[in-house]
Amino acid sequence: MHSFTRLDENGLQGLWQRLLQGEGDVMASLMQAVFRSLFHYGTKFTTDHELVKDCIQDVFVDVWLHRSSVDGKIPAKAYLMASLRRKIHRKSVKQGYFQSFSEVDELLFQVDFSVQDAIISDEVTRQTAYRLKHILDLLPKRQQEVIYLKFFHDLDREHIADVMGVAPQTVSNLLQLALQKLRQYASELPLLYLLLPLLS
Amino acid sequence: MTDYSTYTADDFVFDDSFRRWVRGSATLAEQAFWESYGIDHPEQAAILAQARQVVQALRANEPELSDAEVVATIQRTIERMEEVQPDVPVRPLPVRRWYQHPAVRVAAVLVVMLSLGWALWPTTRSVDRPITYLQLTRQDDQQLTEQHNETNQPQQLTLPDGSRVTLQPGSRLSYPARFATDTRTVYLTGDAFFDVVRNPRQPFLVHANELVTKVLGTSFRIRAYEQASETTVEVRTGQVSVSVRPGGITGKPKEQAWQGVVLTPNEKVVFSRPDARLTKMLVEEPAMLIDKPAEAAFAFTDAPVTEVFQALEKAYGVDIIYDREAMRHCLLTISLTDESLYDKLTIVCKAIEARYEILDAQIVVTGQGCQ
Repeated sequence: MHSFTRLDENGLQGLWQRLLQGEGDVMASLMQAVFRSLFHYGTKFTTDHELVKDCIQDVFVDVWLHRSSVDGKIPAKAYLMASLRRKIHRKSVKQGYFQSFSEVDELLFQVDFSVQDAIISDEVTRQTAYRLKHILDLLPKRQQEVIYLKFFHDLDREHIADVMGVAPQTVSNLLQLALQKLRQYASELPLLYLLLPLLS
Repeated sequence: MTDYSTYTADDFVFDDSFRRWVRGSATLAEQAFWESYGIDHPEQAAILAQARQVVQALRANEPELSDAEVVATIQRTIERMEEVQPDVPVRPLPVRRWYQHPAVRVAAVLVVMLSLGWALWPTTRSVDRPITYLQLTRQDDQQLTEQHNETNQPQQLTLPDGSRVTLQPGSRLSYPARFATDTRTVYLTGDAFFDVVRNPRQPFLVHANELVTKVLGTSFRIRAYEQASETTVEVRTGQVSVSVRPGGITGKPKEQAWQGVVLTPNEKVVFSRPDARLTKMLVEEPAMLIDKPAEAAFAFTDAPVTEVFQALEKAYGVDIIYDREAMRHCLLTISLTDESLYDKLTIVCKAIEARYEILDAQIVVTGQGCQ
């Protein structure tokens, strides 16, 4: 748990517009507001936390340098997450971890979903939660990334598309696939989920 | 408008608006929608409650990152900005940064925690350093006014924002002469009933022992005696978030693990100091939410008992769990008026040869049903 203020959407956009207009002194407040989200997202692509922090620095310095050409219509958070994603991928390729961007895309996104048992009060809900976690664990990485951005960063379809560099329709398709799988498993394997809390 | 009537728990979990509401980032319109949706659709109560808990319980594991690391990285970024463009001024941060102010830190953690809308559970299961009223009021930088009820009658007082407080004998309440623009913070030791003027832009926070109660506008009662082993919060109207701050008054926010619950009318939470645990339950005497007596009359003629249950759920804002299939053939002719909720339930259950019990904050009715 951290101690920086969480700006609401409007507050954040306000700072972002001021930065793009050349007001350098809003940088610290802006960075505070989004730093942890960016860091969390970045660490899904690499276990090298120093690399993620360096890339976040690079992203903000780039925004500052090229502020006149930044598309101000994209919300700050989506813009910054998209830049960070590209930056980490490029650096990973440079460091020779991966052959190409496409391979990075497929291989890199790693997320651990978990269920906080203590919050759950009854068995049916526990089963529902573990079933969901289990399906999410089995999803292809791109579907996992869509869900992660949607569930834990509150991004909508258009902005997930901005971040991942795909068409909004692709995001809808990926979400539909995930939801379908969930329904399919719900009807096929009800017994398994009775056991899941015991297994994991 | 989306048709939610056929939604499963999974569908709700995948619904953006629903998730925002559970996580506390919904717009006011969305909040109003979901609050009334739950009341208007008691048949989906179980599914909604499930979906809500799933959203709260499902996490993505995130790595640790200290505030110091964040600040250091921001400083380096600003230095680099100045290097690449020395002609454009980038004002450095003031020496004592606003976000290092203890009050801001505590408030920020609260806001973040509450706006995320989910509970983090404590790593240690006891309150080893109880937080006192004196510590709480000393830590506030503002000039505080204290009301101490030294009489043996409850005392009424009105706060600067118009909110009303009924202070029980021996209790103390501290508050600033003018509230800050972003929050209304007060400190309580003892027993008080609050009727808070609604202002979503300026949440009302009551600090009492280890509990922090946050509301936008509602009425509720807090019992927080310094020497007692239990602190309770009971909700009369509206929604209230209650969270616990373990680790003593000086515990750094980062090291603190939080737990919290959201309460709706007629629910209460008991915080037990020995095991640092919050337990949610129904208040002893649930009150009717409807003011108009006409709507509060429960007169049914040959009505399925399921309708009676729905009317009770709506009137008292409680969840009643029962087997819909078995119960819907039970027909009742009954007229209920000013009995308490529990008396009403006893009468209804007797008529259909069922029993009720209270589990957590829910009423569970079991019986054979009718053929």
